[in-house]
Amino acid sequence: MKKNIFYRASIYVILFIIMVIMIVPFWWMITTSFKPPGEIFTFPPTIIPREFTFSNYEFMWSSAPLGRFWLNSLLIASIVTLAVMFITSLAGFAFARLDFKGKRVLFYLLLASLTGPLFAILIPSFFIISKAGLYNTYFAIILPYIGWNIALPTLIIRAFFESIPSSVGDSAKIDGCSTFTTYRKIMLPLVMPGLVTVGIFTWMYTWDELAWAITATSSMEMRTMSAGITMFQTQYFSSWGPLCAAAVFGVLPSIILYIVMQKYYKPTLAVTGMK
Amino acid sequence: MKRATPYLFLFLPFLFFAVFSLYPLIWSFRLSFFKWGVITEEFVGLSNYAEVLGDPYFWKVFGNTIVYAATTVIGQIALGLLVAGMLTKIGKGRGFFSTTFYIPVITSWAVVAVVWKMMLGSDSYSFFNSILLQTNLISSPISWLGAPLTAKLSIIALCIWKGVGWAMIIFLAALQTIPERFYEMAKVDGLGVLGRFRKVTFPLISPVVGMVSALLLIGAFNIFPQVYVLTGGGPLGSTESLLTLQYREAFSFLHFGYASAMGYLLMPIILFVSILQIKAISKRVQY
Amino acid sequence: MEYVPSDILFQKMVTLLAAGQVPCDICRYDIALTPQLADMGVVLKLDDLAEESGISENDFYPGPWSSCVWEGGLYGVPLDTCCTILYYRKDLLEAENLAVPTTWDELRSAAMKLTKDLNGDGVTDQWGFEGPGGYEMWNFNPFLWQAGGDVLSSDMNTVTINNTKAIQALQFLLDLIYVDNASPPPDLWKWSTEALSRGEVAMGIDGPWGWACARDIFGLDVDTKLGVATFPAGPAGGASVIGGQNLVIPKFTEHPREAMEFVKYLTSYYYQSEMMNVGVFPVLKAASQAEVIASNPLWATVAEQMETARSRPPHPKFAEMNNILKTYLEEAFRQQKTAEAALDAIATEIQELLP
Repeated sequence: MKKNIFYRASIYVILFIIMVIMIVPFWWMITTSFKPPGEIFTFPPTIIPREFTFSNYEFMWSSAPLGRFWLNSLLIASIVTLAVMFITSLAGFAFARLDFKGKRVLFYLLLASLTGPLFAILIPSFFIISKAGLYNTYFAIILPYIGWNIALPTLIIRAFFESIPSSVGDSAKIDGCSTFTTYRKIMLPLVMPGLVTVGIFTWMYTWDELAWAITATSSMEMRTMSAGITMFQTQYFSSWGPLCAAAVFGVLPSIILYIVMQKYYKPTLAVTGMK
Repeated sequence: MKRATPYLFLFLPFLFFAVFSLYPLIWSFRLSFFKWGVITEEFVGLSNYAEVLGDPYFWKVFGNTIVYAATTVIGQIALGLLVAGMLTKIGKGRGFFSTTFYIPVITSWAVVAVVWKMMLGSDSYSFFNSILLQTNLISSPISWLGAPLTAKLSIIALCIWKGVGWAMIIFLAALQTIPERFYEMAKVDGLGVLGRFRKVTFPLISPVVGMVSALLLIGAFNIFPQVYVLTGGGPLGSTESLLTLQYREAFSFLHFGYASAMGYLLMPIILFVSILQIKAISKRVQY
Repeated sequence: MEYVPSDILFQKMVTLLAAGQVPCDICRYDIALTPQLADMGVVLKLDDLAEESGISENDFYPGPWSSCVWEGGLYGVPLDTCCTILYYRKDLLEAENLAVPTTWDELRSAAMKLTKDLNGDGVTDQWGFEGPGGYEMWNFNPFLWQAGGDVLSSDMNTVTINNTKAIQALQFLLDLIYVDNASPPPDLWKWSTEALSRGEVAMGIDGPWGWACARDIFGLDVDTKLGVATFPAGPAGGASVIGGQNLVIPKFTEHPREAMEFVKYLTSYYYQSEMMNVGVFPVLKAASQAEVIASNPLWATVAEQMETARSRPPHPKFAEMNNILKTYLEEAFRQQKTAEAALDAIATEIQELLP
């Protein structure tokens, strides 16, 4: 009995320490966003702002149309994430549970696309966008984002599908389910955690990506949050206070989404998977 | 109709993939045989490849990357599994902890890199130094990013810090799909903690572990924002990654052909090692 | 009007031009990189348009103008400029009764007197002179020119970075660190304005923005504590390095004439003198005589320094040359190579870049 409590208590302690390590830079960012310029670089650094101020947020809000950037990012992120989740779950399922010609080749192609020279994506993708007349539109950003987020999520979801014992699929067939129904009613719910994971990563990618977001757009109305953050960094130095304020503002949706999605991690058909 | 089903599933994904991933790959592969001048080009055959292989700096950066790969992959897998395992043992607070561990992962690189740069300054005002100075663990500030060894360690630490939440979440999800009764059966069979891990846990999550480690390896070869923002590749090229090198060659010096050649020299290597990793770790779950 | 972060700018230009799409009608572009655009053939040759609009070389400072010229053609028009100057802590110099150094020897002796271990723990807390602060041409060239050397010959066909004058310049800086102990070693290098504000360094080098940064970011009482001066003169006199932006017109634009009109406006006396109010130094010689400059000690110093300030080699391969210099200078400063060996290595590699 005692051993059990001790065991669990020590786990909590370790987890707490790790949590502090994970949080510290983030905490730093939040507190800096509320500090006046003079307090940001002091010795010793203040863990809780001595002088709490909203001036950074005011400055940030008034110097750039951050609201618009934020909405753009929100729109793009939502569309891309849902699309990617749907499309790659189809592909992941096909790889893990169906047989088809060229399966191996396609698999290696997916892996290859992740190992190839990433910097080289920009120019050819731009050829396509430009020829399609999509420069400076939402589609210019949305379509490539989906395209670039096919390989990795597919591989992840495939692994999740593979973790499902094949007996589940067999019993579905015996019950007379078509492939698509199997996919929809049985497999999909089982890989929900994996799907949500992929969704969150894709969401985060769209908020973070910078180079393409700038290359594919030319007007302020089309810029995203990531571009907004760079406005507080010049070639020579950064305005730390407003920069952190903008960063906090930009990271909020991802965190809120993640907290909301927590419940999908609870195992659904967990116990046996054999229904 | 039945035989066409897989292709129906694959149609949409493949379309997007082909246009935005495959085509660029082919374009840059072709380019690796040329000297490119934005609006001009000149065929040079294999000379770009020869140049890459003959450049000592390339090999130095390659060595850096091997170090990055080994340390960050092992670090993230081990820590990720450990923490995920710990999380499954507690009921209360699991959600809270996993959320907080995940925060580094979902904070954008642009922000993370800049904040860490601030915290890793070489004087006594930057966060790490001031903590160490105040607790008397060191007597004078450490120049984290100014000396080759500490700079490399800083980058590795940053990579692990930012990424371990990712692996952890995936492992946690995978661990949660293992039916409880398997553990009970194992306990009945008399297996201890380590035994249960080896015989029950690991085989069942091995496809996920295999995939994750392959992806982490690929990620290690693609390290970019950390190095670009924190050190720019210095000091003395000790933190330079292959991607920052390619990026500079391509977008500062306009050696697109050269940079593409570098990318394609590396691709088979990375592919080969990742596939090896997947095969070695994953076991098909059949019962 | 489109805003692009500076490190993505070139990438975007290249990407769009490769696809045949016009990125913009005018672009504000770093002067050091303009010749690269010119050589690539992606910006318009402006000689005729410039003549039509009445833009003439004589109105501009020679340094910025030279960065717009490549192979005899004009490919850009300067917009704004700046140069680096010496910043110092008035209070620290006064405490030692030191006058502002005006030669290398004065700099050295002042720096030595100003280097102190304030709390007796064996660690230097205050350094006399921060040093170049970096390994690029931006940092090293002022000293190089003050010694009478240069990276390339004036026709840019020969490399001269390893002649005795260059060695002298580099050795001077190295000795300040390792012989005179008046300058911090590379491990401790940081942004000089930050070091100055904290009193970690008594003298340092930065561009004109250092003033505002010291005041706004680090909270230094600049009016009483910060002083500015032109670079101390080396054996060959004073010098500084020029930075700034040019205006270029990308190739596929459909409105070259209107673009040029706008360029004319941006380089007019009116606009250039207004630029001062936002802290940007004009390229028009006439504008720099304005009242607002003479009355401000910072800008007056910059104006004075501009007379001996030069631009880094306006060569298309500037980015690569800079990178080569940076690599080997770092080795020299970290004592992995002697000054001669480092400069020879630089010379050999840069020579390979020249036709």
